Amino acid sequence: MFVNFFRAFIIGIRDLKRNFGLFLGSTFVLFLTLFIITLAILLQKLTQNLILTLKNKADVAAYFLPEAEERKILELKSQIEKTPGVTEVKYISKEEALEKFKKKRSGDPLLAEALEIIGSNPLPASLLIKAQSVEAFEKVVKFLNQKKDEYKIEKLNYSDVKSMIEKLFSISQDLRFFSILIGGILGFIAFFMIFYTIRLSIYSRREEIKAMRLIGATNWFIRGPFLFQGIILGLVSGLLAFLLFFGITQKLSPKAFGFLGEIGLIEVLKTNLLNLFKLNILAGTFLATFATFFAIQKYLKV
Amino acid sequence: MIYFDQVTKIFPPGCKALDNVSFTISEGEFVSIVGKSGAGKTTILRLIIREEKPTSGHIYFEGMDISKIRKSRLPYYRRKIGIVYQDYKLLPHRTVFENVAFALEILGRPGKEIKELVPKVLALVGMEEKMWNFPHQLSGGEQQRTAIARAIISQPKVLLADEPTGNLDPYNTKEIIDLLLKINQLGTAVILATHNRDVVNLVKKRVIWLEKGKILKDDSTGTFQL
Repeated sequence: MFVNFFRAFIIGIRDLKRNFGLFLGSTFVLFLTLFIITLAILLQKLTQNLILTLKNKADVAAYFLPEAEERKILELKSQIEKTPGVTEVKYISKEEALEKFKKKRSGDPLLAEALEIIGSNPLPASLLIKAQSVEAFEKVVKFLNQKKDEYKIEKLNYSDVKSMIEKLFSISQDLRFFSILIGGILGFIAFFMIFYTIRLSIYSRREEIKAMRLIGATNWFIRGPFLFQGIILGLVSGLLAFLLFFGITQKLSPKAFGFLGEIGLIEVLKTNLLNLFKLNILAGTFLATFATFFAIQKYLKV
Repeated sequence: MIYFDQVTKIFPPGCKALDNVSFTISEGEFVSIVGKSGAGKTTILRLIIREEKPTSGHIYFEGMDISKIRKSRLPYYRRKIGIVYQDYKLLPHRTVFENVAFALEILGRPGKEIKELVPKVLALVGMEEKMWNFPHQLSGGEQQRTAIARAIISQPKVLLADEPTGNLDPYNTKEIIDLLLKINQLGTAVILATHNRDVVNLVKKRVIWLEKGKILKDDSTGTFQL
């Protein structure tokens, strides 16, 4: 048993050296396959990030009358925070609002002049509310409308942003659907690419396999060296694909990717390096040995 | 040792390759099976090695009905039989030494024994000097001698030779036939399928003459007549 195992390994390595061209071709295809599969998975991750970013952009603001007390506003804030589906409630005081406004319009001399003429702070205090879903937003708005007078709310900007929020959420849905669709198609193509490459390489050696059967070799004795070659093929291709992604994280700055950088391509790559390594090595080895096993089966029937 | 009991083989869609054929081959015998192309010579050999199963009838090897051998046991049965082909069927990416060693490797023999035995058998067929060449670096005669070495190294009971000289010139043909006779003298039964009249005349042993799947003549003193 051990002799045969060892022999299969040695013969596998020797055959690999002698069929190096074939091996190189398969390595390249498997490398591409793994690259595509990894891209498809990254696409999913990035889409999730993008959806999160988009959802974070949606908010409802409640503006308070100048006479509203800060204590009451904070009381309302903690009440809203208890509403299910609400992810964040941010209090912006009159002073903060003015500070922000000034910063935004710095370098505008007319504005500074106008503020001076008014003499007091004309900006209202406000609460910024973020939520997971359109329903949660609606619940919050309903609640705020009920308490409008009690808490001296001057205005809700929900009606302005309602359609935008709905649009953002529906875009998120579409994005998720398309990323899964494209990822699935890419994965499918990649799988068949490597499957047929290995099939062809085994096909080119079918006479040899048949001859081995007729001499009296058992199926496992014939398969052994081929399976070892499959494992080596998977390991080498997996390592190559991983190194490429590793190189991307090392060499390229986030800025180089513009929008993709903003939604965290490099971050996703960096935080998932170990997973990427495992994915490439395991998927490579699995695909190569699985495809080899099935490709060879056909010629073992003699 | 080998007994064909009313064997018929029909290949779909209805081509009768063998028609109710019966014969016996004893241990250590040398039998030539002759006939035109398509007479059924190769079919007999393929049935013996169980590359094919008979449509009807039985084939016995050492008293065992070989169509009853399970697929997983087939390799172990085939190891009792050596076989050489017209197209040699050497493993193209392996050297002469490795091709011959393969027959011992499948038996799980230790490396040391293989290293000792292979050169001896290669010397017997006159291939010891080309031990490290690949098949594509050899002439037809040399490839066939390598194939014979591979077939006999595990000391099979019987050696099947399917047109072994079909691709060879008369000089090489004589060398291969002499080699087969030598192997036969050492105790291995040889079944030689050929359509070459000179080959049979050279051998002067039992001849089974096939025509259209039937045995026309079973001549134990045998010279080939056309």
